[in-house]
Amino acid sequence: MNIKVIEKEFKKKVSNQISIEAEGINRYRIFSPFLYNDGDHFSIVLKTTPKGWILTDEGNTYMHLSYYLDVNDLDRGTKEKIIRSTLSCFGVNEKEGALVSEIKDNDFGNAFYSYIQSLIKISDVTYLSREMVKSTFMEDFKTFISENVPFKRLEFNYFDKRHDPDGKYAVDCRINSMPNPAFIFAISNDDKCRDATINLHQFEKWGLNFRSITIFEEQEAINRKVLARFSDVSEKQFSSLTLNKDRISSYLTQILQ
Amino acid sequence: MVILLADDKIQSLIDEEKRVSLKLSDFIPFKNKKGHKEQEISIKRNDGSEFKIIIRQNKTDPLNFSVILGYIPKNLNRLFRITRYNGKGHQHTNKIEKNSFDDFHIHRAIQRYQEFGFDEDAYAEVTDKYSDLPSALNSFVKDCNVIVPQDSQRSLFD
Repeated sequence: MNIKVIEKEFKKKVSNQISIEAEGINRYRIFSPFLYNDGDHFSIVLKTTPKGWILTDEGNTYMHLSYYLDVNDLDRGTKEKIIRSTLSCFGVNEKEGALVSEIKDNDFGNAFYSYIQSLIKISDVTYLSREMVKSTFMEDFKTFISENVPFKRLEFNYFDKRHDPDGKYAVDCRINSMPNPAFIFAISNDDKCRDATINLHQFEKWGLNFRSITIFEEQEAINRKVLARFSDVSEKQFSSLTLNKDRISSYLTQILQ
Repeated sequence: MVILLADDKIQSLIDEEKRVSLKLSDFIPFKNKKGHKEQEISIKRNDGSEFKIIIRQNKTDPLNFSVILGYIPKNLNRLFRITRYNGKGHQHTNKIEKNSFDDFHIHRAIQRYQEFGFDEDAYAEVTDKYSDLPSALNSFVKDCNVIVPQDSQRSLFD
């Protein structure tokens, strides 16, 4: 199909501001008005392959998302679910980090319309970053701990059955098989921080042997007084999961020995 | 948490000497990510804050890269992007000035953009200082006062 005809279809279906320019052999860059938050435009290329025409971002979307989040997080949890359902919904495939859509039956306009929608939806996962949605923090926490501690030594949502049969004083994760088991708290807000303070006081009262580790979603978001009271009873703290993964990992390795 | 930095603070962070032990050749990204390669270098500051230099390069298009100088204030977990040396492969539009271009460009954190609620580094200017990743790294280390071991720069870019 003639490239000018394709451009006309794109304009008709999506936006009059779209243009196509040849760039190399069988490769055309699509200029569109669609922007990321930082003013950079979506990078989309139209190519011919032995199987036919394709639209591809050549890996640019994920590279752009990496400015805002750890791209490894895109393969798990809520973000992975959103991306997987988006790709499936709009008929887009991921190939080595590139988002690719095959154009079937020369239906260029609809294919491009769907492709743009998929990129917009996928780029929106940046709104699921650490300060926007608390729900992914616990998932990210559990995934991270599971990756760094042998499964048989882990117990999530632990509580002391002897002193606390109803599980009122729970710990997010307990690492066992060590003289003093490690109690890990994952704290994302003031309420959780207060609960953890109360729990630690209670554990002291019961005379439990343990060491405490706390991973905050965003420590600076915690009320100063709440944090001060918590700091009086807690031991090792990490101010965030996202930016301390290496440090937390090496600390866990150290205490697991 | 939103970080707001004034223009003079941003400039002083750019001008501050950043001494690294890595050679410039070690700045070339090698860690495989989704569709691109990445390298990250941390530089601790005396007050507990830190700089991060993050380099990314697209696996398909080597001219699609970014070299970022980031800043993480003490006790915060949010990376503030001070400046970003971008390659080609995408257009950029400055949302306040409403000008667009399709060329190598340098993003720069600006107080005005932060005040409007845009990304801190949403402002960018076209540059002719570099034409590929090695020359962008060369410009970046000079502009951002990154001190690499002597002679390492020459060995990579001669």
